[in-house]
Amino acid sequence: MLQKKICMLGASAVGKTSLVARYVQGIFSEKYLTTVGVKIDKKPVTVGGVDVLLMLWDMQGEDRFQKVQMSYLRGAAGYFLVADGTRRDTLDRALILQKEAEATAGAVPFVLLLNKSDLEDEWDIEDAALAELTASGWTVLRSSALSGLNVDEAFQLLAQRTTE
Amino acid sequence: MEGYPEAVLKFLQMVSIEHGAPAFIHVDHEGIVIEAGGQLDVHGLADVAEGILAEERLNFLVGLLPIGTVPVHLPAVETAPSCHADVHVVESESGAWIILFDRSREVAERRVAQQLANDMSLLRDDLARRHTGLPGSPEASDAATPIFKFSGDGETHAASVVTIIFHDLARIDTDPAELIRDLAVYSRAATRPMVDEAGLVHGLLGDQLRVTFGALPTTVAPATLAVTAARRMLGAIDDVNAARNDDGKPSYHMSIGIASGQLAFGLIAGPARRVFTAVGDLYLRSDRLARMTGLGNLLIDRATFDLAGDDQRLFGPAPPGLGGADESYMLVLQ
Repeated sequence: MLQKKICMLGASAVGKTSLVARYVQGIFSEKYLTTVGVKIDKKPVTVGGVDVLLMLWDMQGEDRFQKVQMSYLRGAAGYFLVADGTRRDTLDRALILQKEAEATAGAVPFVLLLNKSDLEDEWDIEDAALAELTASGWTVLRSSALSGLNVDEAFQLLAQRTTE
Repeated sequence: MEGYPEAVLKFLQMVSIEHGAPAFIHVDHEGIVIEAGGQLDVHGLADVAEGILAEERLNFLVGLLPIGTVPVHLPAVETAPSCHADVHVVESESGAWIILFDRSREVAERRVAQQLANDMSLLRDDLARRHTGLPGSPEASDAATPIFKFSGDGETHAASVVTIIFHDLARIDTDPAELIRDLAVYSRAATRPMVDEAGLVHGLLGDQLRVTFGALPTTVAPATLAVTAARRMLGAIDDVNAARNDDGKPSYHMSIGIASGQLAFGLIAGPARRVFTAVGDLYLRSDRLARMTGLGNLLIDRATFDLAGDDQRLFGPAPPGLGGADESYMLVLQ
């Protein structure tokens, strides 16, 4: 089976692990356990009639205490940039990470996920900022690991892009 | 290895093998395992054997091979549940060497520190938001003002909350002046673990303390934080007692009760002085548990036990006189 490596990139506590858990196991847990290093999960999908095994690299988040190891991206077919829609600075962090990821993995497909869309009252990212990114060719989706909004769709979309 | 005496190199080798549990896997240009050895079992990879396609067993190799001339270092890769290894992939004439060093202990330690750091970051973000008037800020001068974003809406917030009350510090044979002096030491020892674990200390009356977990934003389940804080409190009072016993004085004892459930909370009073308040029968329940457990122990209710996750292993059913197995659980390990 064709195997594709997909990395989850983003600041700490934006919901990378929860997105993977929602997608792979269909569950969401309120209990949060910080990821240290990297954990790899597998998920088989069908893209255009072809069976593909996604290898999902759930990487530790980046913050002032720890940098994301870009060596993890070696051989990645695509990646998600994950930001927490209730924390504007996590989007800034995602923008920086995108540049670093491109330097390591090359111009592979990526999707920006603005996670925690279920916390609408606390939303902290202006539509204008997103419109700018979309206009420059980025794919941006609001997601929620809690409700499942756009989770399957995002992974399916990226899987499809990696096989084009 | 120039510049290192042979004896030092030998020692380094020994330390590396003893503490790093190194393992190696040699693959050919097609990615087939041609040799494997070292302490593979430590990494949960005991079944890696000659002849298998390495990528099918070692997920982290997908996309990496052929490796090229520049070695790759992948820190703290989870190779099996609770097993983390630093992975090095190095080119060889036949293909590539994959070399693993155990890092499970360091990862477990780092996770605790990182979790605390994340909690602090989230709390700071929340405070910053409240000061910048963004949605969720409580700058309104209403009589009842929600202070933290939480479940519920309007002016009262209902949340899954855990409370702790402890008491029974005082000994009737203690000199009152000495008791007040000790209370200062005791209070510090008791409240610090609560604050560390994101508990909101909002009731300190004499030797009794009321703490609410779940009102402050955290990344960890409130019940888990409450149990951790309570255990740390018991440890802290042991330290206080050790110092007292050295001076020939008797020990103080702490009894702790924890209850979990729904609670209404928010801020009352005006803009100049806001006071956190919470209403619900959880306080009565946790107080009752603390009184039931007697001196020097921790008793939790069924709801807390159900939410305690991995910490459930620390508890056993309380004796029938303490509510029975269906109602409460007693700390049996510390």
